[in-house]
Amino acid sequence: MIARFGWRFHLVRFTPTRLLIVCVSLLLYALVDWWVGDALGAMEDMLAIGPLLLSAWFLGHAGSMMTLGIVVILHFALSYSNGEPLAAALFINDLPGIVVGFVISFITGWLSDLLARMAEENAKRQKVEAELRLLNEELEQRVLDRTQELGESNERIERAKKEWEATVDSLSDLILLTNEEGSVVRCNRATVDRFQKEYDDVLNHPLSDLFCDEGKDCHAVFVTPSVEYQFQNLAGWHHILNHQVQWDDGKLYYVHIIRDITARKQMQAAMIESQKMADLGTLSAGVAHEMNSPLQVIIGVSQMALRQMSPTALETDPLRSDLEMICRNGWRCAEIVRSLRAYAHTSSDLYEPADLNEIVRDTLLLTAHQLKSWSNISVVADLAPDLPKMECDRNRIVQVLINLMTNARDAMPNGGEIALHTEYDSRQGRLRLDVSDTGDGIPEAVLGKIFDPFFTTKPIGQGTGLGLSIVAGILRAHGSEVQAASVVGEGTKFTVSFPLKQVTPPTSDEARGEALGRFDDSYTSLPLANLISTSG
Amino acid sequence: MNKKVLLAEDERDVRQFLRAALTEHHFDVTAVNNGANAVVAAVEQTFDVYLLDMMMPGLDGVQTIRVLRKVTPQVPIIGLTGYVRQGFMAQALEFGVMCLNKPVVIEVLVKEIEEALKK
Repeated sequence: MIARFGWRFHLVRFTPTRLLIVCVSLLLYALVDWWVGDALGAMEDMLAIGPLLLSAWFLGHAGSMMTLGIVVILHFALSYSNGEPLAAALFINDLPGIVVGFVISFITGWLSDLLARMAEENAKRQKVEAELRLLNEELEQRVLDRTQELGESNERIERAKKEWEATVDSLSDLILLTNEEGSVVRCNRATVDRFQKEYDDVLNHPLSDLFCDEGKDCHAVFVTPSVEYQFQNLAGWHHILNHQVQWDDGKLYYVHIIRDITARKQMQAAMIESQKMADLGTLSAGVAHEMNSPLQVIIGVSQMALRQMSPTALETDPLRSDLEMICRNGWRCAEIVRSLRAYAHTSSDLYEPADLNEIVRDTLLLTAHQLKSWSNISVVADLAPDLPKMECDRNRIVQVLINLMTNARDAMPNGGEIALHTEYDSRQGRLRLDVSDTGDGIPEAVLGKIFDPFFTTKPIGQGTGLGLSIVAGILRAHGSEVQAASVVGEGTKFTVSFPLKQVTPPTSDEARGEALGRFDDSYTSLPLANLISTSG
Repeated sequence: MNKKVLLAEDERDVRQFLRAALTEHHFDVTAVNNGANAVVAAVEQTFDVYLLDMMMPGLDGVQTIRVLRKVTPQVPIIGLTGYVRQGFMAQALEFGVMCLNKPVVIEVLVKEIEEALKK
């Protein structure tokens, strides 16, 4: 009985002997496979093939579909588990069996090979995938790190930028960056604040449009390394520094630093002025010394001659008027010298607390008889009550007031009103004194010169041009300011602002001399009328 | 009896004028041209009042005052000055000497001398 696969199907008649042989051969195969396989590798197939051939032979004779299936599955399983191609021969009892066996063996071998390859590829793929995942994660981490680094770097750059902006913006100097065409590329806050503009109104606009009037070329100011200049569109004096810089792109730029030096200029002017006054003081002292003795003779002798003339001749003698003329002009010279004297000592004063209202009232009292002779001129005093006391040289303030009032009188040849006003500015901590008149007023062109020594608008012989400059000198020495505001045809107002305290105490020597100077004044031969007429 | 005045003044015209003017006002005036001569005169004669210019060559006003105060402390002194240096006036005042500014009205000077003589 031969089982022929594919053509005839026999039921396998299992005899115990056959079954035993099959089992033993399978067991043997399994053992060989298990025992020898790992150790010998290539030998395995050769050794395993014997039991396989044996079992297959038996199966071929006694085989049935069922046993065939079992054997195939077993071989397949075993072979697959090893990852090896299945042994070729399964059924060798006859040629078709062998062919089928080989085919099956080949197919199973191929399948197992395929599956093994698939498994291998699968494993490889998994490995690659794992690697890929790892790489991916690594990449993601690097991207994250880099992003963070970039963020920090950006933050640092941003911070540095802001720090520089804040630095440049904190400066009161105007700082501008311009390109070769002269347009503003950047500027700091001070620039826009100073011009009261927005950044957009400044950036990309020509520099000259900003600083100079149309048609006026101030280009040179921005190319000279260092220059002091008064711009048309910017009040005051400025010091301009210009630097050339070359950027990485090869283009040229200019950095302009513009500093307000008005205060310094004013201080310089004040110093020159004060030096001028000091020189004038020295000159005055010299003149006073040289002039007073001859004047003593001129005045004294002419007066003596007048006295010596016979009373009867006094009325008719033409000599009388000549002598009087000499005498009068002698006094006039003495007055000029006397006015000059005020310069010599404007800065060394004895300061004591005094009530400004009291000074005004005393001055009015002192000049009362004089005021009566001022035709058609009324004096109105509007004094604020409870003024704090101010440190001053009282007599000199009286002199200031007399000079200002005399000036007012002279401005009103046809009469008018002199108004005196005092008040306390608690915000500034200063006292204010206004002396206004309803006179002719002072033209604007002249207003800036009225405090200059020897400046006068009066006809020759009527004013020394010293009255107001003495006022300015005395007030300067008091740390005070005097300002004049005038409307031609309406009148002039002088405003004096006094500090309550003086900062520089006079030296004892100066104080002594000055005290004596005042004392000396009370012994002067000059009546108040003469004192008043010195102003002008 | 006229009061005797010693006048020290270096400028001739001023000296002549003051002498004439004071003589007119009934003073006996002895005029000298500097401080040293004033001291000599003060030692040789007796005066009721000294009238000194403060700015003189040689012994100036203050130095003359210092010497005269030692020699004749009882005689009053009046100074005259062209108001050049206040230091002079302050120093003169330390000796109790009042200074008058030039130019001075003769009546004022006379009044001043009379005041000084009363003391």
